[in-house]
Amino acid sequence: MTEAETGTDTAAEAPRIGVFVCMCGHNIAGTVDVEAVAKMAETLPYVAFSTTTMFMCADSGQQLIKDSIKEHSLNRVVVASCSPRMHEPTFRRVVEEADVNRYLFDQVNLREHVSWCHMRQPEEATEKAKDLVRMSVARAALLESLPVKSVEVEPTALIVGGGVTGMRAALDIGDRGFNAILVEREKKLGGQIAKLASVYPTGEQGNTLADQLIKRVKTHDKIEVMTESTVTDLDGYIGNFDVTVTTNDADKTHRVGTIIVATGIQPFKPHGYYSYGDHPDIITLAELEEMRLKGDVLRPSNGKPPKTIAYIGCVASRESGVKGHEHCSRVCCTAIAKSAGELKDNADEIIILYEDLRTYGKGHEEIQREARTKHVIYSKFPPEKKPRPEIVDGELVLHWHDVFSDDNLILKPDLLVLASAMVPPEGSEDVSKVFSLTRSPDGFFNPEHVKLAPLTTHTAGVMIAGGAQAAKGAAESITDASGAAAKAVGLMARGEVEIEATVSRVIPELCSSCHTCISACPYNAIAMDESQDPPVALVTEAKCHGCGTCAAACPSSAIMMLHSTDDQILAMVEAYLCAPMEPDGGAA
Amino acid sequence: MGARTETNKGLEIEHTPSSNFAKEIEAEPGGEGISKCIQCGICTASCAVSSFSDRYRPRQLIQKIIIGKRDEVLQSDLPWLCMTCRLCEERCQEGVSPAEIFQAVRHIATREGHIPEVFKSTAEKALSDGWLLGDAYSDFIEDDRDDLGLDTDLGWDNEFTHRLKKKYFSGGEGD
Amino acid sequence: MTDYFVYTGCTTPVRLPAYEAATMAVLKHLGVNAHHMKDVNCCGAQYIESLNRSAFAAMSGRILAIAERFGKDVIAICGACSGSLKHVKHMLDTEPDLKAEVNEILAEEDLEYTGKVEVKHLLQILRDEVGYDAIRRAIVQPYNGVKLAAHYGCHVTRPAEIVQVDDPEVPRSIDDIIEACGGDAVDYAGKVRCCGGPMLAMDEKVATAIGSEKITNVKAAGAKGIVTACVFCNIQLTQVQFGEGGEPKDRIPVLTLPQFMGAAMGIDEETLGMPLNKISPDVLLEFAHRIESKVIRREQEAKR
Repeated sequence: MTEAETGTDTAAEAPRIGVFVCMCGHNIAGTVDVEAVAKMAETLPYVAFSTTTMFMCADSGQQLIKDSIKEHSLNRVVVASCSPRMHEPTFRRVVEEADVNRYLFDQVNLREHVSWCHMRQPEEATEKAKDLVRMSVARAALLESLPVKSVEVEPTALIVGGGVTGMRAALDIGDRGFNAILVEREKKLGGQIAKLASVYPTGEQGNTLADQLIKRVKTHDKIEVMTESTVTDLDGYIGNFDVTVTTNDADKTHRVGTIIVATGIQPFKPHGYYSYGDHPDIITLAELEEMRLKGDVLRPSNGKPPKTIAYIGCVASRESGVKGHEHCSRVCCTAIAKSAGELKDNADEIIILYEDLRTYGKGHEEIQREARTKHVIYSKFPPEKKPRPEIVDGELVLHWHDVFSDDNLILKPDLLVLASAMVPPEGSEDVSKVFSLTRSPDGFFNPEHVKLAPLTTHTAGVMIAGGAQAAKGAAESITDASGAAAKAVGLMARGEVEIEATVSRVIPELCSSCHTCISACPYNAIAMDESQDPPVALVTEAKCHGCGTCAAACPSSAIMMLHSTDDQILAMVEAYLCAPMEPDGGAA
Repeated sequence: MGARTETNKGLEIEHTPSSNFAKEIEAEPGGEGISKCIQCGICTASCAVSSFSDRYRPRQLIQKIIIGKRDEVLQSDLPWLCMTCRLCEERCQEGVSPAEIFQAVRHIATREGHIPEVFKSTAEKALSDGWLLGDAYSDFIEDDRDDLGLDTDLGWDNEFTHRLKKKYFSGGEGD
Repeated sequence: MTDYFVYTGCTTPVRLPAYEAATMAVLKHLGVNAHHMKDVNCCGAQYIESLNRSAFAAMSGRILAIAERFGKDVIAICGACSGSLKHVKHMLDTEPDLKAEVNEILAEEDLEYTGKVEVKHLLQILRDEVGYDAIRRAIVQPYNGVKLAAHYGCHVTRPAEIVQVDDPEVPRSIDDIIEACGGDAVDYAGKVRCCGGPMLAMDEKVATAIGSEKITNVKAAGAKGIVTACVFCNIQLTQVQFGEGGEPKDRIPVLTLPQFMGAAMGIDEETLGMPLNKISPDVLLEFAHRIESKVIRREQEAKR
C-alpha cells in the first residue's frame, strides 16, 4: 500500500473556514436567499471568508475557490451547492489543487435537500439553508486531513465459470496482455451452449460456437484453465484478492487483482407444472435439445418419431408471487420458434401454446415468421386458465382455450415440450457467500446499479456478467463478458487504485475482543488481528466502505469513523440546536 | 376432427387444431398471406364493422382459419360481413389483407354451396340482366334522365353475362 | 388530351343521374373529351367478386377490352367500379393464366384485353390531366371559405399499391379541389373510414351506424357539407341523415364532386341536377353568392 500525504498538516493551525454559497443559476437562488445565507455564515466561528457565486462548479467558480484559499489563507472549505453525489469529486480536486487536503472539504446540499423540495416556501427554505450551513461549518472546524491511499492491482483476473461468458472474458483479458485464471466446476468448458443442438439465430450447433472459444482459451499463453474446480474461499480486497481454488479436494491459492463471476444459468426441471414427470413424452426444451444433439427426435415412450408436437411457453416463468420464478427467462420464445421451425419439416402438426411472445432480438422476429410460414400454429392461452394435460389410458391429452379464436381446443400430442424457466445454477448460494454478493428475489446476483452499473457489484473489484446477472442468451452474455473484461482490464492497466480514506478505525486500547463488529460488517472488512495479545479488531481499509455499521455496533465505542467522528457529528447536532455559537463555548 | 367431451356443465365442444385449412386458403388466390398473421389485432381495431357489430372480429376469424375450423368458417356468415373497405389491409404491419383472405374464403364457400341469400339473389340479377338495378329503373327516373339531357336507353348488355352464368354458375353457383 | 370513356356503373344512371350529368358537364367545361360507354355490363364488384374470381375478372375485363377496342382509357366515377376495374386490370396484367382464361371468353365477341387500356378515377383526371391551376382559372363563383368535409370512400384510395389514386391515410385530392374552388377543407375524425354502404346488403343496422358516425364526426369538425367522389358513398351519406331522429334542419348537403365544382364554375343548376339532390345544397350555394343570403350579410356586418 502506498500512502501519499496531500495537503498541509493543519492539525496545529486554527481553522480558517471559507464558505462558498452557490446560486446554481435559478435552481438554488430562485428559492433560497443565498446572499442572506452567506452573510449569516460570516458571523459563524472560524469563518474567515464567505461569498456567493452563480455556478460554483464552472471554471470561474472553481477558480474563485482556489483564489480565495490563497488570498484568505483558508485551510477548510465548505461549498453550499448541489448534492455531493453531483460534485464532491470536483470540489475535492479543486481544493487539492490549492494545497488543501481533500478531506478538509465539506459540501452542503442546498439544492436537492432545500430549494428543489421546498420550492413554494422560500422563507422557510432560507432558514433551513442557514441551519445546514451552520452545521457544516461546525463540522468543518473539526475535520482532519487524511492521507490519500492507493493500492496496487495484481495484473491477474479470476474468472469463475467456463461457459461462453467466462471464456469470452478470459480471451478479452488475455488478448490485452493480462493473466486470466478460468475456473470451471465441470469436466469440460462450454457451459449451457454446448448442450444445444441449434443456437439462434443462425442454427449452428452449440458445440460449434463453444469449440471456437474453447480452442483459443486452451492454447492462450495468458490463460490458465482449471476444470473440475470451484472457488472455496476469498480473502483480501480490490487489487489484492487471495482466492482459494479447490480441484478434486486439492486446494491452491492465487493472488488476483480482479474477479469476474460468470456462473451462468441452468434450465429448471418443472416438477409440478403440466404433469412433468408423469409421462415420458413430457420433456423440457433443454431435454429436447439434448436429444437432438445425440441423434433424432424420438418419443421417449415408444422410440418413434413424433408426428404431432406441442410446445408450452412460460413454464415456471412469470409466476407472480412464486419466489425465484417471477422473471421472464428471455431466451425461450425465440428458442421455441427456432425449434418448431426446424422440426416442422418432419412433423405433421406443431402447435405452440403461448402466454406472450417476445422474439425481440436481432433476427428473432424472422425466426418466428419462418415458423409461421411453415404452418406452425401459434395459439394464445389465458394466464388465468392455463393448458391442462390429462393422461388417459397412458395417452397424453392436452386441453386449453385459444384466446383469439375464443375456442376450446384439444390435442393428443406425441411429444409435449415445456419451455421451462432459466434459473441460477445449483451452488449459487455458495458463490454469493464466497464473493459477498447479494441476490435479487429472482436469485440472480445483484449489480451495483441495474441501469448505470450493471456489471460491477458492491464488492469493489468483483464483476458479474452473463447469466449470473440475469437470464439471458449467449449473444447478450458475451456482450456482458466483454464489458466486464474491459472493467477488469481498466483496473489492471492502471496498476493501482485509490481507496477512500473515509473508513473505520479501531482504537485498540478500547477493543474488548467481543467480535460484534466482525458479524456486523457486510463487507468482511474487519477481522481479529491475531498478532496482538489479546487479539483486537483490525480494519482492512481497502475493503472498508465506510458504512459505519461496525462503529454503531461496537459496545465499547472502540471504533471511530474517519471523517465522520462522534465529535464531528455531535458538533453538527449542537450547531443546529444551540444557535448562535460562540467559539470555545463562549470562554474567551 | 373434433371431440365432444361431456362435463357436468353440459356439452363442451373441443376442436383439434390442424393446419390443413390454412394451407387450403393459402393455395386459393387472395389467401396467400394467411400464415403471416401474428394476431396483433390492428385490423380489428381499425375495422368499422367490428366497432358496430358484436359478432364480427377479423382477427378472431383469421385465428379460426389458422387453427383449422373449416366447417365453422365456411358455413358462417361472418366472412361475408367484411365490407371490403380494406382499411385492415392498409394498417396490417405484416402485409396481410384480411379482406382478401375472406374473399378467398367466400370463393371456397361458394363452391361448396354456402352463400348468403342476398349475395345469391343480387349476383343472379347481375348475371341475368347484365347489371344490378334493372328493377329500380322506373318511369320517374327515366323522366329525370330526360330532363338532364341524358340517354334514357341505358344499353346494358346481358348476353355476355348469360355466357358467364353458363360457364361459371351452371346448376347453382359452382365452378 | 386523349379521349375517355366514362364508365358509370350500375348505380349512378338510376339512383344518382345528376352525378352522371354533372360529370359530363364539368369534364366538357374543362376540356376533357368524355364519352358514354354502350353495351357494357356490371363491373362485378362485391357480388360476383365474392362468388367466383374468374367470373369477376371476366365482368370487369370485358369493360376494359371494349375500351381497348375503341382506343380510349376509362374514367370510373363510382368507387366500387374504380376499385374493381383497377384490381382486375392488375390481376390480368400479373396472372397470365387468368388473362388467357378471360380472353378465351372475350374472343367469342372478338374482344381482347391486352393491357394497354388505363383506368382512372375521376379524381386522377381532375388532378393530373386537368390540373389544379386550370380548375382555379375556371372558377367564377368561389365558395368564400365555407367549411367542407371531403369523403373519399374506401375503394377510391385502397388498396393503395394497386389503385394508386391518392395517399390512403392522408389523401389530398378532394381537399385540394375544395380549396381550389374557394372552400375550406376541414379535417375530421375517421376521415378515411368507410361510409358503410357495402354493409347494407348483410346488416343494415351496422351500415347505418357506420354512416351516421361519419356524419357526426363531419359536423363536429364544423363542416357545412360533404363532397364525395363515389355514387354509393353519396347515396349512403345522404340516406343515413333521413333515419330516425334526424331533423330536416340538421341535415347537411352531400354533393358529388362535379356538382360541387360545377356550381363554382358557373354551370347552371339544372344542368348539374341540383334540384334532384335529396338534401338541398342551398346553404353552400349561398356561400358562392348564387343566392342572396341574410346570413352572409349579418356575418359581414358583425365583422365590422
